[in-house]
Amino acid sequence: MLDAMRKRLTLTHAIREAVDTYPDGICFASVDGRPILANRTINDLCSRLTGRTITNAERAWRDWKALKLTDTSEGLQTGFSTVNPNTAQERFLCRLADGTVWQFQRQNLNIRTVPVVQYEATDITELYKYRNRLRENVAQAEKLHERQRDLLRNIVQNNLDKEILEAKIRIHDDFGRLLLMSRSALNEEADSMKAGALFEAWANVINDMENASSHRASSRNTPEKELVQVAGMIGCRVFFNGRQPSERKPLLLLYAAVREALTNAVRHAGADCLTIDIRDEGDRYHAEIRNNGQKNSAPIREGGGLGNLRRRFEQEGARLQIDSSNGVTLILTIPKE
Amino acid sequence: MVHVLIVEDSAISRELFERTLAASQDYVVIASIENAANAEIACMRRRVDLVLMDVCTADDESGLVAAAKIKKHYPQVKIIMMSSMPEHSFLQKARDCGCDSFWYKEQGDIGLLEICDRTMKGGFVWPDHTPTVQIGLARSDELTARELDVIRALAQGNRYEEIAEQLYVSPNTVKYHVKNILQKTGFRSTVQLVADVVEKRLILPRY
Repeated sequence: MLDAMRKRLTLTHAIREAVDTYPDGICFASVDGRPILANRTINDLCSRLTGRTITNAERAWRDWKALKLTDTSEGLQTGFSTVNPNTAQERFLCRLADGTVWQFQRQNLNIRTVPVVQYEATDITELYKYRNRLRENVAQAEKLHERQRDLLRNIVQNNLDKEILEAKIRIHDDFGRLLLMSRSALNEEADSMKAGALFEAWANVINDMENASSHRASSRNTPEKELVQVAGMIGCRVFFNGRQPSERKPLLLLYAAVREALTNAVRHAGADCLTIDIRDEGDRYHAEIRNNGQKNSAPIREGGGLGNLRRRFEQEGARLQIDSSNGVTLILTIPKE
Repeated sequence: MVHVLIVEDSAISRELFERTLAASQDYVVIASIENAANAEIACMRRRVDLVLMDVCTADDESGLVAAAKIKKHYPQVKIIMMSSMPEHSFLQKARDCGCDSFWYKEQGDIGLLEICDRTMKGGFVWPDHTPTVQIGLARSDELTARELDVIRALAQGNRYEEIAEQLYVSPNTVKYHVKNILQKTGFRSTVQLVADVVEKRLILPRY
C-alpha cells in the first residue's frame, strides 16, 4: 500500500517535472476553470500579464483575451487567431512588456470520458516579426504591381504622343531653317536660282504642315461626318439634335449605338431617316435614336449586334433600353465619366 | 471594274492608295473611310467587291472585327487585311476572320495593285511570316509562340496567377517562361520587356 502510494507520488513528481520543463506554457483545467495542472511558464506569463498566477483558468483566459493584439484580425487566414468550430479551438496573440509575442490557445479534450480544457501559450516573437515583414513586402509588391499596370496602360498612348511630338519637332526645325534661309536671301542679292530653291523649300514645308494638320484632324476624329457619309451610301439620312458628348468614351458609346440602330433600321424596317436627340443631364447624357421605318408590332429579338451593344454599355456603366411601342427607339443613358 | 472600299485611318496612306488604284483602269474607289466600324454599313447597299482594311483604325476600332462581320453578311466581298505593325498575332487572326489576303504595307515585297489583282482572281496572298523586330538582345522570331502569349498577357497587365489561368498552365510554368524571355532579351524586368515590345509594335494589347 505504502509502495503503491510512493510509486504514485513518484509518478506525480515526474509528470510535474516534465510539464515544468516543457518550453511552452501549458495548463489543464476542468470545464469550470479549476486548474488541474499548470506549468511554471504559463503561471509566470499569467503573472506578468495580469499580476497574479492562475487560480481559475477560465477567468485567466478571459483576462488574457482582454489584452490580445488587435491586429490579429487579419491573421484569420494565416491561422494566428480565431475559433475552430470542429475542435472548439480558440487562439489569439498577446504582447508582453518585454516585447515578446505569445500565442494563446484553448482546446477542449476528453480524457477517459472526462472533459478537460487545455490552455497553451507559445512564444512566436520571431514568427510574428517575419509575418509583419511579409505583410509589408506584400503591400509593397501590390503597390509596385499597380504602378506597373498604370505604366502598361499608358505605354500605347505615350508612344503615339512621342511620334506626334517627333513630327512636330521636325516641322518646327524645317520651318526655322527656312526662316533663316529667307532672311539671308532678303539681305543678300538673291539670284533667280536661289529664289527658285527657296520657293520650292517653302512649298514643301507648307505641304508638310497641311498633311500634318489633316492627319491630326483625322486622329482627332469627327465621327459624325463619316457616319453621315456611309449612311448616305445606304440611302439613309442622319440628323443629330442637341450637343454631342465632348468626352471620348460617351461619344464612342453613342456612335456604337447609332451604327447599330442605323443597320437595323435600314435592314429590318426599310428606314431612310434616323434622328438622334441628345440631352446633357449634368453627370450623364440621355439620347434617343428613332427611325422612320415600318412599325413592327412583333417583339424585338436581341441578336448578336444588339446583345453585344448591351454588354458593351453594361461594361461602361451605361444603360440601353429598347422601346418598341411606336417603331423601335433606342434610349441611352451614358455617364460622362 | 472592281469597286473598292478603303478603310485606313491615316490620311496620307488613304490618299496614296486612292492614287495607286486610280492609275489602274480596273479599279474604282467608291469610298475611303477611317473607322472600321463603319465598313459593314458601307457594304450594305452599294456594290463592294474588294475592301482594303487596315487592322488598327480610328477610335481604336479593329479592322479584324469589321472583316469578320463583313464576311458573315457579305461573303462574296474580298478583303485584303493591311498592317504596318509587326504584331505577331495579326496574320492568324486575319485568317480566322476569313480574309482573302494580307498585305504588309511597308514591307515592299509586293505592290498594292499586284495583291489586288491576284486576290480578285481568286488567289490567297499571304506573307510567310511577320516582319522581324529586335527585342532587347533577341530577334522577335527567336521567341516561341508560347512566350509571345505570355508577353501579351503581361502587356495586358495580368499577374502570373492570372496568366496561368488564362493559358491553362501553372504559375511556375509562367515564371519559367518569363525567366527564359528575360534571359533571351537581356531585360532586367517585365516592365522593360513590355515597354519594348509595345514600342516596337510586336504586341498591341488592344487588338
